[in-house]
Amino acid sequence: MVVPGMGKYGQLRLINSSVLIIGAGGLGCPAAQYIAGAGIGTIGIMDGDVVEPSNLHRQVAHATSRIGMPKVDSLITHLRFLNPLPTYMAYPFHLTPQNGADIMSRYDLILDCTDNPATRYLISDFCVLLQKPLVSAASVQKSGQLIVLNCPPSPQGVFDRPCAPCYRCCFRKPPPPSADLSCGEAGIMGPVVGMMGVAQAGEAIKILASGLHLPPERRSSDGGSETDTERNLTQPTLLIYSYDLASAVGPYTFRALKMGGRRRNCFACGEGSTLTLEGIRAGEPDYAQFCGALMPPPTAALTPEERITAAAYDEARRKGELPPHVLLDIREREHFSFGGIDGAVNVPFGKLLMNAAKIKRDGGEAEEVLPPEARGNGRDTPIFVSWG
Amino acid sequence: MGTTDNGNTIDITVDFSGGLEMLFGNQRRHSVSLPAVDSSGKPTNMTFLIDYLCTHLMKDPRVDLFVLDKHIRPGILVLINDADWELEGEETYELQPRDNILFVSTLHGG
Repeated sequence: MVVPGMGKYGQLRLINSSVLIIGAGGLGCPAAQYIAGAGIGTIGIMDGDVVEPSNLHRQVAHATSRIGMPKVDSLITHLRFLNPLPTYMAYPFHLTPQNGADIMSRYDLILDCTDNPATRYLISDFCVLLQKPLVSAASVQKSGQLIVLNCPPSPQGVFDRPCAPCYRCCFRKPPPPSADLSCGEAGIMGPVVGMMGVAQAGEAIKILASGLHLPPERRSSDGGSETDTERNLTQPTLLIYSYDLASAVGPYTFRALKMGGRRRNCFACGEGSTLTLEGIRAGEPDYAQFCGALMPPPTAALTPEERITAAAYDEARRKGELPPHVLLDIREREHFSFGGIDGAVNVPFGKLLMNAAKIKRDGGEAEEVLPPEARGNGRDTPIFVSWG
Repeated sequence: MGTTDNGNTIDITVDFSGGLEMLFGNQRRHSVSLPAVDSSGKPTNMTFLIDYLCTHLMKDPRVDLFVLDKHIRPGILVLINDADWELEGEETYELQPRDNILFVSTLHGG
Protein backbone atom coordinates (compact mmCIF):
# COMPACT_ATOMS: atom_id res chain seq x y z
CA MET A 1 0.00 0.00 0.00
CA VAL A 2 2.80 2.42 0.89
CA VAL A 3 4.92 1.46 -2.10
CA PRO A 4 5.81 4.56 -4.13
CA GLY A 5 3.21 5.06 -6.84
CA MET A 6 0.51 3.03 -5.12
CA GLY A 7 -0.85 4.94 -2.09
CA LYS A 8 -4.43 5.31 -0.93
CA TYR A 9 -5.87 6.05 -4.38
CA GLY A 10 -4.18 3.06 -5.94
CA GLN A 11 -5.49 0.84 -3.15
CA LEU A 12 -9.00 2.26 -3.51
CA ARG A 13 -8.94 1.47 -7.22
CA LEU A 14 -7.98 -2.12 -6.39
CA ILE A 15 -10.81 -2.46 -3.87
CA ASN A 16 -13.28 -1.17 -6.45
CA SER A 17 -12.05 -3.44 -9.22
CA SER A 18 -12.75 -6.99 -10.27
CA VAL A 19 -10.60 -9.70 -11.83
CA LEU A 20 -11.63 -12.94 -13.53
CA ILE A 21 -9.05 -15.72 -13.33
CA ILE A 22 -9.73 -18.35 -15.98
CA GLY A 23 -7.95 -21.55 -15.00
CA ALA A 24 -7.26 -22.57 -11.38
CA GLY A 25 -4.10 -24.54 -12.11
CA GLY A 26 -0.37 -23.86 -12.17
CA LEU A 27 -0.78 -20.23 -13.26
CA GLY A 28 -4.14 -19.48 -11.63
CA CYS A 29 -3.21 -20.65 -8.11
CA PRO A 30 -0.18 -18.42 -7.56
CA ALA A 31 -1.82 -15.52 -9.44
CA ALA A 32 -4.97 -15.72 -7.30
CA GLN A 33 -3.01 -15.66 -4.03
CA TYR A 34 -1.43 -12.31 -4.86
CA ILE A 35 -4.63 -10.92 -6.38
CA ALA A 36 -6.47 -11.76 -3.15
CA GLY A 37 -3.59 -10.44 -1.03
CA ALA A 38 -3.65 -7.12 -2.89
CA GLY A 39 -7.24 -6.53 -1.79
CA ILE A 40 -8.92 -6.55 -5.19
CA GLY A 41 -12.64 -6.27 -4.43
CA THR A 42 -14.17 -9.01 -6.57
CA ILE A 43 -12.35 -12.13 -7.71
CA GLY A 44 -13.95 -14.64 -10.08
CA ILE A 45 -12.42 -18.08 -10.56
CA MET A 46 -13.37 -20.32 -13.49
CA ASP A 47 -12.28 -23.93 -14.02
CA GLY A 48 -14.13 -27.17 -14.70
CA ASP A 49 -11.51 -29.59 -13.33
CA VAL A 50 -11.15 -31.29 -9.96
CA VAL A 51 -7.95 -31.44 -7.89
CA GLU A 52 -5.68 -34.40 -8.71
CA PRO A 53 -2.54 -35.54 -6.88
CA SER A 54 -0.36 -34.78 -9.93
CA ASN A 55 -1.43 -31.10 -9.74
CA LEU A 56 -0.12 -30.44 -6.25
CA HIS A 57 3.58 -29.81 -6.99
CA ARG A 58 2.72 -26.62 -8.85
CA GLN A 59 -0.93 -25.78 -8.15
CA VAL A 60 0.01 -24.48 -4.75
CA ALA A 61 -3.41 -23.36 -3.52
CA HIS A 62 -4.80 -26.89 -3.59
CA ALA A 63 -4.10 -29.49 -0.92
CA THR A 64 -3.85 -33.22 -0.43
CA SER A 65 -6.99 -33.04 1.72
CA ARG A 66 -8.94 -31.49 -1.17
CA ILE A 67 -8.16 -34.06 -3.87
CA GLY A 68 -11.34 -34.69 -5.86
CA MET A 69 -12.83 -31.29 -4.98
CA PRO A 70 -13.61 -28.87 -7.84
CA LYS A 71 -10.49 -26.71 -8.28
CA VAL A 72 -12.60 -23.57 -8.09
CA ASP A 73 -13.89 -24.49 -4.61
CA SER A 74 -10.47 -25.63 -3.44
CA LEU A 75 -8.81 -22.39 -4.58
CA ILE A 76 -11.50 -20.16 -3.05
CA THR A 77 -11.23 -22.08 0.25
CA HIS A 78 -7.52 -21.28 0.25
CA LEU A 79 -8.07 -17.62 -0.71
CA ARG A 80 -10.63 -17.08 2.07
CA PHE A 81 -7.99 -18.14 4.61
CA LEU A 82 -5.62 -15.58 3.10
CA ASN A 83 -8.16 -12.76 2.82
CA PRO A 84 -11.84 -13.13 3.70
CA LEU A 85 -12.76 -9.63 2.53
CA PRO A 86 -13.00 -9.88 -1.29
CA THR A 87 -16.18 -11.14 -2.93
CA TYR A 88 -15.33 -14.51 -4.45
CA MET A 89 -17.35 -15.77 -7.42
CA ALA A 90 -17.14 -19.47 -8.34
CA TYR A 91 -17.59 -20.71 -11.91
CA PRO A 92 -16.96 -24.47 -11.63
CA PHE A 93 -17.06 -25.14 -15.37
CA HIS A 94 -14.94 -24.45 -18.45
CA LEU A 95 -15.22 -21.35 -20.60
CA THR A 96 -17.32 -21.90 -23.73
CA PRO A 97 -18.36 -19.72 -26.68
CA GLN A 98 -21.81 -19.70 -25.09
CA ASN A 99 -21.07 -18.79 -21.46
CA GLY A 100 -18.09 -16.46 -21.94
CA ALA A 101 -19.55 -13.06 -22.84
CA ASP A 102 -22.01 -12.91 -19.96
CA ILE A 103 -19.45 -13.80 -17.30
CA MET A 104 -16.43 -11.92 -18.68
CA SER A 105 -18.43 -8.71 -19.19
CA ARG A 106 -18.81 -8.37 -15.38
CA TYR A 107 -15.06 -8.01 -14.79
CA ASP A 108 -12.50 -5.23 -15.26
CA LEU A 109 -9.62 -7.46 -16.25
CA ILE A 110 -9.08 -11.06 -17.33
CA LEU A 111 -6.21 -13.40 -16.47
CA ASP A 112 -5.68 -16.19 -18.98
CA CYS A 113 -4.36 -19.06 -16.86
CA THR A 114 -5.63 -21.81 -19.16
CA ASP A 115 -3.75 -24.66 -20.79
CA ASN A 116 -4.86 -24.97 -24.43
CA PRO A 117 -4.76 -22.87 -27.61
CA ALA A 118 -8.50 -23.04 -28.41
CA THR A 119 -9.46 -21.48 -25.06
CA ARG A 120 -6.71 -18.90 -25.36
CA TYR A 121 -8.02 -17.64 -28.72
CA LEU A 122 -11.59 -17.68 -27.38
CA ILE A 123 -10.63 -15.62 -24.31
CA SER A 124 -8.79 -13.10 -26.46
CA ASP A 125 -11.70 -12.70 -28.87
CA PHE A 126 -14.08 -12.03 -25.98
CA CYS A 127 -11.60 -9.52 -24.54
CA VAL A 128 -11.51 -7.65 -27.85
CA LEU A 129 -15.30 -7.50 -28.15
CA LEU A 130 -15.90 -6.70 -24.48
CA GLN A 131 -12.90 -4.31 -24.36
CA LYS A 132 -11.18 -6.00 -21.45
CA PRO A 133 -7.43 -5.97 -20.80
CA LEU A 134 -5.93 -9.45 -20.85
CA VAL A 135 -2.92 -10.65 -18.90
CA SER A 136 -1.83 -13.83 -20.61
CA ALA A 137 0.77 -16.33 -19.44
CA ALA A 138 1.75 -19.84 -20.46
CA SER A 139 4.30 -22.37 -19.37
CA VAL A 140 5.46 -25.86 -20.22
CA GLN A 141 8.48 -27.96 -19.25
CA LYS A 142 11.20 -25.40 -18.50
CA SER A 143 9.86 -22.29 -20.26
CA GLY A 144 7.38 -19.55 -19.44
CA GLN A 145 5.88 -16.61 -21.31
CA LEU A 146 3.96 -13.52 -20.20
CA ILE A 147 2.33 -10.65 -22.09
CA VAL A 148 -0.23 -7.92 -21.40
CA LEU A 149 -2.69 -7.58 -24.27
CA ASN A 150 -5.53 -5.30 -25.23
CA CYS A 151 -4.50 -2.72 -22.66
CA PRO A 152 -5.69 -0.07 -22.62
CA PRO A 153 -8.68 -1.51 -24.44
CA SER A 154 -9.96 0.17 -27.58
CA PRO A 155 -12.89 -0.69 -29.85
CA GLN A 156 -12.49 -3.22 -32.67
CA GLY A 157 -11.19 -1.71 -35.91
CA VAL A 158 -9.89 1.57 -34.41
CA PHE A 159 -6.61 2.74 -35.97
CA ASP A 160 -6.64 6.52 -35.49
CA ARG A 161 -4.22 6.11 -32.57
CA PRO A 162 -1.69 3.47 -31.55
CA CYS A 163 -3.71 0.61 -30.09
CA ALA A 164 -2.60 -2.38 -28.09
CA PRO A 165 -2.59 -5.76 -29.86
CA CYS A 166 -4.77 -8.74 -29.00
CA TYR A 167 -3.59 -12.35 -28.68
CA ARG A 168 -4.26 -12.95 -32.39
CA CYS A 169 -2.16 -9.91 -33.38
CA CYS A 170 0.85 -11.45 -31.65
CA PHE A 171 0.14 -15.14 -32.25
CA ARG A 172 -1.68 -15.26 -35.58
CA LYS A 173 -2.02 -19.01 -35.92
CA PRO A 174 -1.82 -21.83 -33.40
CA PRO A 175 0.85 -24.48 -33.89
CA PRO A 176 -0.20 -27.77 -35.46
CA PRO A 177 -1.43 -30.00 -32.60
CA SER A 178 1.48 -32.38 -33.14
CA ALA A 179 3.91 -29.60 -32.26
CA ASP A 180 2.10 -28.37 -29.15
CA LEU A 181 2.93 -29.66 -25.70
CA SER A 182 0.70 -29.76 -22.64
CA CYS A 183 2.00 -29.79 -19.07
CA GLY A 184 0.39 -33.15 -18.39
CA GLU A 185 2.17 -34.87 -21.29
CA ALA A 186 5.44 -32.96 -21.43
CA GLY A 187 5.98 -32.17 -17.77
CA ILE A 188 6.40 -28.82 -16.10
CA MET A 189 8.72 -27.40 -13.47
CA GLY A 190 6.59 -26.01 -10.63
CA PRO A 191 8.67 -22.87 -9.99
CA VAL A 192 8.61 -21.94 -13.69
CA VAL A 193 4.83 -21.89 -14.04
CA GLY A 194 4.55 -20.37 -10.55
CA MET A 195 6.85 -17.52 -11.52
CA MET A 196 4.66 -16.72 -14.53
CA GLY A 197 1.46 -16.83 -12.46
CA VAL A 198 2.90 -14.47 -9.86
CA ALA A 199 4.03 -12.14 -12.63
CA GLN A 200 0.47 -12.15 -14.03
CA ALA A 201 -0.84 -10.95 -10.66
CA GLY A 202 1.83 -8.25 -10.64
CA GLU A 203 0.77 -6.98 -14.05
CA ALA A 204 -2.93 -7.09 -13.13
CA ILE A 205 -2.37 -5.09 -9.91
CA LYS A 206 -0.33 -2.51 -11.82
CA ILE A 207 -3.03 -2.04 -14.47
CA LEU A 208 -5.94 -1.82 -12.03
CA ALA A 209 -4.16 0.47 -9.55
CA SER A 210 -3.33 2.94 -12.31
CA GLY A 211 -6.71 2.71 -14.00
CA LEU A 212 -5.25 1.54 -17.32
CA HIS A 213 -8.10 -0.92 -17.76
CA LEU A 214 -10.42 2.02 -18.35
CA PRO A 215 -10.71 3.74 -21.72
CA PRO A 216 -8.92 7.12 -21.57
CA GLU A 217 -12.14 9.14 -21.37
CA ARG A 218 -13.24 7.26 -18.23
CA ARG A 219 -9.91 7.40 -16.45
CA SER A 220 -9.72 9.76 -13.46
CA SER A 221 -7.72 12.88 -14.12
CA ASP A 222 -5.00 12.52 -11.48
CA GLY A 223 -2.52 11.21 -14.01
CA GLY A 224 -0.99 12.83 -17.10
CA SER A 225 -2.49 12.51 -20.55
CA GLU A 226 -0.59 9.47 -21.75
CA THR A 227 1.66 7.65 -19.34
CA ASP A 228 4.86 5.84 -20.19
CA THR A 229 3.18 2.63 -19.18
CA GLU A 230 0.48 3.18 -21.75
CA ARG A 231 2.91 3.90 -24.57
CA ASN A 232 4.73 0.76 -23.61
CA LEU A 233 1.55 -1.32 -23.65
CA THR A 234 0.55 -0.40 -27.19
CA GLN A 235 3.69 -2.26 -28.25
CA PRO A 236 3.83 -4.70 -25.37
CA THR A 237 6.73 -6.75 -24.14
CA LEU A 238 6.69 -10.52 -24.26
CA LEU A 239 8.61 -11.79 -21.26
CA ILE A 240 10.30 -15.14 -21.71
CA TYR A 241 11.65 -17.21 -18.84
CA SER A 242 14.00 -20.04 -19.75
CA TYR A 243 14.92 -22.32 -16.89
CA ASP A 244 18.04 -24.36 -17.47
CA LEU A 245 18.52 -27.46 -15.34
CA ALA A 246 22.17 -27.62 -16.34
CA SER A 247 23.32 -24.11 -15.45
CA ALA A 248 22.82 -21.33 -12.94
CA VAL A 249 20.66 -18.32 -13.66
CA GLY A 250 22.25 -16.45 -16.54
CA PRO A 251 22.00 -13.40 -18.79
CA TYR A 252 19.32 -15.00 -20.98
CA THR A 253 17.18 -16.55 -18.25
CA PHE A 254 14.74 -13.68 -18.72
CA ARG A 255 14.30 -11.97 -22.06
CA ALA A 256 12.08 -9.02 -22.84
CA LEU A 257 10.91 -9.08 -26.45
CA LYS A 258 9.28 -6.17 -28.20
CA MET A 259 6.04 -7.06 -29.96
CA GLY A 260 4.12 -5.06 -32.57
CA GLY A 261 0.92 -3.08 -31.97
CA ARG A 262 -2.60 -3.82 -33.20
CA ARG A 263 -2.56 -5.36 -36.69
CA ARG A 264 -4.74 -3.88 -39.41
CA ASN A 265 -5.48 -7.31 -40.83
CA CYS A 266 -6.14 -8.97 -37.48
CA PHE A 267 -9.09 -11.36 -37.65
CA ALA A 268 -10.42 -10.14 -34.29
CA CYS A 269 -9.52 -6.48 -33.75
CA GLY A 270 -8.43 -5.38 -37.24
CA GLU A 271 -10.17 -3.30 -39.89
CA GLY A 272 -13.44 -4.76 -41.14
CA SER A 273 -13.34 -7.64 -38.64
CA THR A 274 -16.50 -9.72 -38.78
CA LEU A 275 -16.04 -11.13 -35.28
CA THR A 276 -19.11 -10.55 -33.07
CA LEU A 277 -20.42 -11.84 -29.75
CA GLU A 278 -23.49 -13.24 -31.52
CA GLY A 279 -21.24 -15.02 -34.00
CA ILE A 280 -19.07 -16.58 -31.29
CA ARG A 281 -22.18 -17.79 -29.45
CA ALA A 282 -23.49 -19.36 -32.66
CA GLY A 283 -20.21 -21.20 -33.29
CA GLU A 284 -18.39 -18.79 -35.59
CA PRO A 285 -15.41 -19.01 -35.66
CA ASP A 286 -14.91 -22.69 -34.89
CA TYR A 287 -12.15 -22.66 -32.27
CA ALA A 288 -11.67 -26.41 -32.11
CA GLN A 289 -11.16 -26.62 -35.86
CA PHE A 290 -8.89 -23.53 -35.90
CA CYS A 291 -6.66 -25.21 -33.36
CA GLY A 292 -6.81 -28.58 -35.06
CA ALA A 293 -8.58 -30.47 -32.28
CA LEU A 294 -10.76 -32.10 -34.92
CA MET A 295 -7.90 -33.32 -37.09
CA PRO A 296 -8.18 -37.03 -37.84
CA PRO A 297 -5.79 -39.16 -35.79
CA PRO A 298 -2.68 -40.22 -37.72
CA THR A 299 -3.08 -43.51 -39.52
CA ALA A 300 -1.56 -46.38 -37.62
CA ALA A 301 1.62 -47.72 -39.20
CA LEU A 302 1.18 -51.16 -37.67
CA THR A 303 -1.75 -53.58 -38.02
CA PRO A 304 -3.33 -54.91 -34.82
CA GLU A 305 -1.61 -58.30 -35.48
CA GLU A 306 1.76 -56.57 -35.42
CA ARG A 307 1.09 -55.08 -32.00
CA ILE A 308 1.45 -56.60 -28.57
CA THR A 309 0.54 -55.20 -25.16
CA ALA A 310 3.12 -55.12 -22.38
CA ALA A 311 1.14 -57.74 -20.42
CA ALA A 312 0.84 -60.11 -23.40
CA TYR A 313 4.55 -59.66 -24.16
CA ASP A 314 5.44 -60.44 -20.57
CA GLU A 315 3.34 -63.60 -20.60
CA ALA A 316 4.70 -64.79 -23.97
CA ARG A 317 8.26 -64.22 -22.78
CA ARG A 318 7.72 -66.09 -19.53
CA LYS A 319 6.25 -69.03 -21.44
CA GLY A 320 9.28 -68.97 -23.75
CA GLU A 321 7.16 -68.37 -26.84
CA LEU A 322 9.38 -65.63 -28.22
CA PRO A 323 12.49 -66.11 -30.37
CA PRO A 324 15.78 -64.55 -29.16
CA HIS A 325 15.28 -60.84 -29.63
CA VAL A 326 16.13 -57.34 -28.51
CA LEU A 327 13.50 -55.27 -26.72
CA LEU A 328 13.80 -51.55 -27.44
CA ASP A 329 12.13 -48.99 -25.19
CA ILE A 330 11.88 -45.81 -27.25
CA ARG A 331 10.46 -43.51 -24.58
CA GLU A 332 12.51 -40.52 -23.45
CA ARG A 333 15.34 -41.22 -21.00
CA GLU A 334 13.49 -39.54 -18.12
CA HIS A 335 10.45 -41.81 -18.55
CA PHE A 336 12.64 -44.90 -18.76
CA SER A 337 14.47 -43.84 -15.60
CA PHE A 338 11.31 -44.52 -13.61
CA GLY A 339 11.13 -48.12 -14.79
CA GLY A 340 10.83 -50.37 -17.82
CA ILE A 341 10.54 -54.01 -18.80
CA ASP A 342 13.46 -56.18 -17.64
CA GLY A 343 16.20 -56.35 -20.23
CA ALA A 344 14.82 -53.54 -22.40
CA VAL A 345 17.35 -51.22 -24.05
CA ASN A 346 16.40 -47.55 -23.99
CA VAL A 347 16.92 -45.75 -27.32
CA PRO A 348 14.72 -42.62 -27.26
CA PHE A 349 12.71 -42.09 -30.42
CA GLY A 350 14.30 -38.70 -31.11
CA LYS A 351 17.74 -40.33 -30.96
CA LEU A 352 16.61 -43.02 -33.43
CA LEU A 353 15.39 -40.34 -35.82
CA MET A 354 18.63 -38.42 -35.52
CA ASN A 355 20.72 -41.52 -36.15
CA ALA A 356 18.59 -42.30 -39.19
CA ALA A 357 19.04 -38.77 -40.52
CA LYS A 358 22.80 -38.97 -40.00
CA ILE A 359 23.04 -42.26 -41.94
CA LYS A 360 20.93 -40.81 -44.73
CA ARG A 361 23.20 -37.76 -44.87
CA ASP A 362 26.65 -39.32 -44.34
CA GLY A 363 26.02 -42.87 -45.50
CA GLY A 364 26.32 -46.04 -43.44
CA GLU A 365 24.63 -49.35 -42.71
CA ALA A 366 20.98 -49.42 -41.75
CA GLU A 367 21.62 -51.28 -38.48
CA GLU A 368 23.83 -48.43 -37.31
CA VAL A 369 20.62 -46.62 -36.54
CA LEU A 370 20.78 -48.58 -33.26
CA PRO A 371 23.58 -48.33 -30.71
CA PRO A 372 25.75 -51.51 -30.61
CA GLU A 373 24.13 -52.82 -27.40
CA ALA A 374 20.74 -52.78 -29.08
CA ARG A 375 21.67 -54.59 -32.29
CA GLY A 376 21.54 -58.20 -31.09
CA ASN A 377 23.77 -60.90 -32.55
CA GLY A 378 23.07 -60.48 -36.21
CA ARG A 379 20.92 -59.01 -38.91
CA ASP A 380 18.10 -61.46 -38.35
CA THR A 381 17.53 -60.74 -34.66
CA PRO A 382 13.96 -59.49 -34.40
CA ILE A 383 13.41 -56.21 -32.60
CA PHE A 384 10.46 -55.59 -30.35
CA VAL A 385 9.62 -51.98 -29.66
CA SER A 386 7.92 -50.80 -26.52
CA TRP A 387 6.45 -47.33 -26.19
CA GLY A 388 4.32 -45.96 -23.41
CA MET B 1 34.88 -19.02 -38.39
CA GLY B 2 35.01 -15.24 -38.13
CA THR B 3 34.27 -12.12 -40.09
CA THR B 4 36.93 -11.76 -42.74
CA ASP B 5 38.44 -8.38 -43.45
CA ASN B 6 36.82 -8.13 -46.85
CA GLY B 7 33.38 -8.76 -45.32
CA ASN B 8 32.67 -12.02 -47.10
CA THR B 9 30.88 -13.47 -44.10
CA ILE B 10 28.48 -12.24 -41.45
CA ASP B 11 28.75 -13.54 -37.91
CA ILE B 12 25.50 -13.71 -35.97
CA THR B 13 24.11 -15.55 -32.99
CA VAL B 14 21.01 -17.70 -33.28
CA ASP B 15 19.02 -18.67 -30.18
CA PHE B 16 16.30 -21.27 -29.75
CA SER B 17 13.81 -21.29 -26.91
CA GLY B 18 10.51 -22.70 -25.72
CA GLY B 19 11.52 -26.27 -26.66
CA LEU B 20 12.88 -25.56 -30.17
CA GLU B 21 16.43 -26.08 -28.87
CA MET B 22 15.51 -29.79 -28.88
CA LEU B 23 15.75 -29.75 -32.69
CA PHE B 24 19.21 -28.18 -32.59
CA GLY B 25 21.16 -30.57 -30.40
CA ASN B 26 19.62 -29.24 -27.17
CA GLN B 27 21.79 -26.17 -27.49
CA ARG B 28 20.12 -22.81 -26.95
CA ARG B 29 22.74 -20.52 -28.48
CA HIS B 30 24.65 -21.03 -31.71
CA SER B 31 27.28 -18.85 -33.34
CA VAL B 32 26.68 -18.88 -37.07
CA SER B 33 28.86 -17.54 -39.86
CA LEU B 34 26.95 -16.85 -43.06
CA PRO B 35 28.11 -15.73 -46.48
CA ALA B 36 27.38 -12.01 -46.83
CA VAL B 37 25.59 -12.59 -50.14
CA ASP B 38 23.57 -15.52 -51.44
CA SER B 39 24.29 -17.45 -54.66
CA SER B 40 22.54 -14.81 -56.75
CA GLY B 41 24.62 -12.03 -55.19
CA LYS B 42 21.85 -10.58 -53.01
CA PRO B 43 22.55 -9.70 -49.37
CA THR B 44 21.85 -12.60 -47.05
CA ASN B 45 18.35 -12.36 -45.57
CA MET B 46 16.13 -14.29 -43.16
CA THR B 47 14.91 -16.70 -45.86
CA PHE B 48 18.54 -17.67 -46.46
CA LEU B 49 19.17 -18.08 -42.73
CA ILE B 50 16.14 -20.31 -42.20
CA ASP B 51 17.18 -22.54 -45.08
CA TYR B 52 20.76 -22.56 -43.77
CA LEU B 53 19.61 -23.60 -40.30
CA CYS B 54 17.58 -26.48 -41.73
CA THR B 55 20.48 -27.77 -43.83
CA HIS B 56 23.44 -27.09 -41.57
CA LEU B 57 22.41 -26.74 -37.95
CA MET B 58 19.36 -28.92 -37.39
CA LYS B 59 20.29 -32.26 -35.86
CA ASP B 60 16.75 -33.59 -35.76
CA PRO B 61 15.17 -34.75 -39.05
CA ARG B 62 11.73 -33.47 -38.03
CA VAL B 63 12.12 -30.34 -40.15
CA ASP B 64 8.35 -29.82 -40.15
CA LEU B 65 8.54 -28.89 -36.48
CA PHE B 66 10.47 -25.82 -37.65
CA VAL B 67 9.47 -25.12 -41.24
CA LEU B 68 6.14 -25.86 -42.97
CA ASP B 69 5.52 -25.07 -46.65
CA LYS B 70 8.88 -23.25 -46.82
CA HIS B 71 7.89 -20.82 -44.06
CA ILE B 72 8.49 -20.85 -40.30
CA ARG B 73 5.67 -23.02 -38.97
CA PRO B 74 2.74 -21.43 -37.13
CA GLY B 75 3.38 -21.17 -33.41
CA ILE B 76 7.00 -19.98 -33.70
CA LEU B 77 7.88 -16.35 -33.03
CA VAL B 78 10.94 -14.92 -34.73
CA LEU B 79 12.74 -12.09 -32.98
CA ILE B 80 15.41 -9.95 -34.61
CA ASN B 81 17.53 -8.31 -31.90
CA ASP B 82 14.69 -8.90 -29.42
CA ALA B 83 11.96 -7.33 -31.59
CA ASP B 84 9.19 -9.21 -33.41
CA TRP B 85 10.49 -9.75 -36.96
CA GLU B 86 7.25 -8.27 -38.23
CA LEU B 87 8.70 -4.90 -37.19
CA GLU B 88 11.79 -5.62 -39.31
CA GLY B 89 10.43 -6.94 -42.59
CA GLU B 90 10.16 -10.65 -41.71
CA GLU B 91 11.81 -12.92 -44.30
CA THR B 92 13.19 -10.02 -46.33
CA TYR B 93 15.25 -8.62 -43.44
CA GLU B 94 18.90 -8.42 -44.48
CA LEU B 95 21.18 -9.76 -41.78
CA GLN B 96 23.76 -7.48 -40.20
CA PRO B 97 26.96 -8.48 -38.37
CA ARG B 98 26.37 -9.34 -34.70
CA ASP B 99 22.59 -9.69 -35.14
CA ASN B 100 20.85 -11.92 -32.65
CA ILE B 101 18.03 -14.01 -34.05
CA LEU B 102 15.73 -15.80 -31.62
CA PHE B 103 13.27 -18.52 -32.55
CA VAL B 104 10.81 -19.27 -29.78
CA SER B 105 7.83 -21.56 -29.87
CA THR B 106 4.69 -20.15 -28.30
CA LEU B 107 3.50 -22.03 -25.24
CA HIS B 108 -0.07 -22.84 -24.27
CA GLY B 109 0.24 -24.88 -21.08
CA GLY B 110 -0.50 -23.57 -17.66
